[in-house]
Amino acid sequence: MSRLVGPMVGSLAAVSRVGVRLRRRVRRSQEDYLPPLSPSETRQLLDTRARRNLNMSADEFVRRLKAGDLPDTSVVQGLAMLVGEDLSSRAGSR
Amino acid sequence: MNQALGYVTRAGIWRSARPRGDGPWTLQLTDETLPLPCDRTIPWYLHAYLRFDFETDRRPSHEGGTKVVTREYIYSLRVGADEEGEVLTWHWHPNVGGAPDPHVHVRADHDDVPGLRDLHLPTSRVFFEDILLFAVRNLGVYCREGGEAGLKDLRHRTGSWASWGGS
Repeated sequence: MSRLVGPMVGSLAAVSRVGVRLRRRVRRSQEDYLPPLSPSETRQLLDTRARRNLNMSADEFVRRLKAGDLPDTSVVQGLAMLVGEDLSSRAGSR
Repeated sequence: MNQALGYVTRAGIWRSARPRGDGPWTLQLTDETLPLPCDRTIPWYLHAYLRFDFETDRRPSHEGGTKVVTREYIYSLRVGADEEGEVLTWHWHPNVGGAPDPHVHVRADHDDVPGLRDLHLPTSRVFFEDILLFAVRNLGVYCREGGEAGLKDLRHRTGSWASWGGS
């Protein structure tokens, strides 16, 4: 019986490693197909990132962006892409 | 986009967003600023956004189909996670007054050129694969085995689909 334990444990370990790899591959492929953020989720994301990067709310960010009161930086222009309002022409002051 | 990113890092992925129900889409990174694997003490980071839309495909032999059209992009490479670490940034934001064409900002200084880092240095259109290939070839960023060839292939295909600036 003891002679079988080693190989059995080794087999179980091999199967579990394969299982981990498969689960990882499935998780990655699932991540690649996450549904798009809704308008409300995008607004929440904008608020979170605006507060973190610029110490302002999403509403204030949009107001100042429309007014041309924000610099032409990667952070600002990136967050502008999360804005849900029509900014067909926005100002940059850099 | 996620296939390209995956050649370098799985620390995050691109995820689409629809700020307006009827407007353009936005691609944003799930972690706003992603560390890129490299052998520097202070690693490189990627900060990026892209806006896109769909339109009817009018290319010969593709008529009637639908293709993705990029409307705007930001690709930024930083030596730190914060904005202060920004070193190279490629922008294309045609709706911003004064800088409608693709350009790059380089965080550099020269005694005789004040404001050098604020200049909009003109470039051709750059693709996400270009940024990753640049980082791998010039900045010591790692990519997984076969990744550089994979990125080159993706770049070739993406460029062939692009309606402008793909060569």
